Amino acid sequence: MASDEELMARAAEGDMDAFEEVVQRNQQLALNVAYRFLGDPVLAEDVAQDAFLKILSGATRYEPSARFRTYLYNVVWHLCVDLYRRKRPGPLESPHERAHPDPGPAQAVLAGELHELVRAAVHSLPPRQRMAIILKHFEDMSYEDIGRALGCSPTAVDALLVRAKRKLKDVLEDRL
Amino acid sequence: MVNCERTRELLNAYLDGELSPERRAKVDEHLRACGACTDVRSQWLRLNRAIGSLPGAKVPDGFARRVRQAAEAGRALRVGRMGRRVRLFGDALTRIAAVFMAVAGVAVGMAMGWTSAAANGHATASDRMESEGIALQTDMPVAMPEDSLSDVYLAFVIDEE
Repeated sequence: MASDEELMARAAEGDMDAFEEVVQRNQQLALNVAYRFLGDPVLAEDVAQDAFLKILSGATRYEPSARFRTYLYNVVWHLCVDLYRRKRPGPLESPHERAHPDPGPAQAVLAGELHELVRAAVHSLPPRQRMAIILKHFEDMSYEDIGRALGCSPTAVDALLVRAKRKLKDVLEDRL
Repeated sequence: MVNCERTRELLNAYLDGELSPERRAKVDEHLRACGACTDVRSQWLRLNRAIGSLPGAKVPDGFARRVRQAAEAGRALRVGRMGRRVRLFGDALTRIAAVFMAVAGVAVGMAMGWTSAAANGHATASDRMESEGIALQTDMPVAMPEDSLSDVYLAFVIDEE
């Protein structure tokens, strides 16, 4: 099976089947990161699509010195932070969730409330801390790979995570 | 053996599996002996679990196909619009024309600015000052258009009234 890097090389030469294959393999990843950062599924879809299109438009310049996924995370990060600076989206709750709260059993309600608290707390973090949390805790990336995606050192990634978690702990302490 | 302060500084990296084996061993050794730091580690673990429990996004149906279609449409649009690619300032003739236009624009602008009250034949307050023998050190233009704010101000200053 061809690697993402090999598929991108073919996409650079105009092979759109290869490009679509790359998108299919990595769409969940791009959408997850964008959604967890922005909190809006529609914006997340726009960002994920733009990320793949940007990557394709730069495919002739793509040097597979780093893994494709690290490159994808880097592009998604820049698009997310651009959108964050332009739109400063509001609270994480989607209109669908507001309109259709699911009462469910008590434990599910409590779990749901905790999810909302955690999501709101993560969403309140500054952009770099928020993305560091997302890439570590949801994408299980190493500090080195997170550093490549965010353009900083592994030590700086550790510092971002520590600061972020201290803030989250302050907000969530009673509920943990 | 590391102390409590150092252990807590390293706890995040320790829980993320980012410490070297040597450092990890030192933190392990401290945690075995320190209940307070073990409690802090438990708090971090609970926090990590809470963060990791958040759901992700659902992939919309047909997402990859739509991205491909957008890419193909973008490529067709760029080729269709231009036919032949024209790069701004990309060829020597275009560059020469751009420089000529810039020089011509500056020359015309300068020519249009070469007017003065004297040339227009109007006596301004500054002219009257000169006739009164009043010298005024100013960094405003000496020849001020008639009835301009500067002219009115100077008229006030030399007490024409």
